[in-house]
Amino acid sequence: MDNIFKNNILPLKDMLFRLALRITLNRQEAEDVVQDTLLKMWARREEWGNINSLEAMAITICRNQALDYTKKAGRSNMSIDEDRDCHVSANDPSVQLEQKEGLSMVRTVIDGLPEVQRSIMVLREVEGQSFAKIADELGMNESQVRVYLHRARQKIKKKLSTL
Amino acid sequence: MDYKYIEQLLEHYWECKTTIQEEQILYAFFSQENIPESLAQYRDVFVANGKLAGEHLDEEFDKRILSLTVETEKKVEAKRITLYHRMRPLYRAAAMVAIVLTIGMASQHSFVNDSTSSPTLWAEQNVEDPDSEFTQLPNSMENTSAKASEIGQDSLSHHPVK
Repeated sequence: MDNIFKNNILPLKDMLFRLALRITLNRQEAEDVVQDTLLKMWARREEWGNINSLEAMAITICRNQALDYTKKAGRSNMSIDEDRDCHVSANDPSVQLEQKEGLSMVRTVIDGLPEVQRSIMVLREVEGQSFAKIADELGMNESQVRVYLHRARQKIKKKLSTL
Repeated sequence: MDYKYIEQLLEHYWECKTTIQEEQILYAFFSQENIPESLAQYRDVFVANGKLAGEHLDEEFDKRILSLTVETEKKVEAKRITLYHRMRPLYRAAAMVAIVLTIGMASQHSFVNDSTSSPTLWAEQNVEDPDSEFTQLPNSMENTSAKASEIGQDSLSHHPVK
């Protein structure tokens, strides 16, 4: 049990953190969500033998926890990096400002997407997972995953083309 | 420089037709500093996701989680108690009951006015002169043995040896 937790479940913490961060949009809450998720996983250790994918189980718990936190906090849209400087490479302050605005706008669009689209974006774009794996983790089929991701990307593209 | 390949990949990206490897090429391309103007507007999508990829929890978090899960269970295991320790409260309870019963019985005896309950008390109440009782004891013993021998002879005479 100890080894399974240390080697297979605990290493999921960063992926779960990024997923929770994209849903809650708050670093402290995202950390709390991951902690709650891992403690719940540990509490259900007797079920591990009967479960096909511990990762899928952890992701499901994490998403539910994150949504609970968001509901309790009563907010939905806020930038995850609102208190941090954006990464910009150009030295010209006007270009920096432009890039900051562009980045901020993209984040606002992403953060305004439905939760399932945001989760799929994290798993695909950030974690680099296959459609099959994402479908398995989120309990849907591959074509549904593609449809959700397609909608999310189209929304972002549309917003960018209006700039 | 020809960016047709990148533009083609981008078109596939928006339509969700890119593979993971092709998407990695796009992320690598947009992480560069010099991006052509025609593609610059898409840069922020990849930068935003790339920034999220750099987010992680520190080792303190691991320690905290392990102390709340695996290590807590180990501590509980280390405090495994033997049968003797497990039964110790029972022994204590039994000892307490025994003490209470003993005290109760002793107090009951002391409060009941029964002359036969104490040999000393009986002697004090029934023996008026201890010295005379002591001198009469050998005489009474002799009488008892004489009576016993008479009874023995009578029984022999009733059953003569053939």
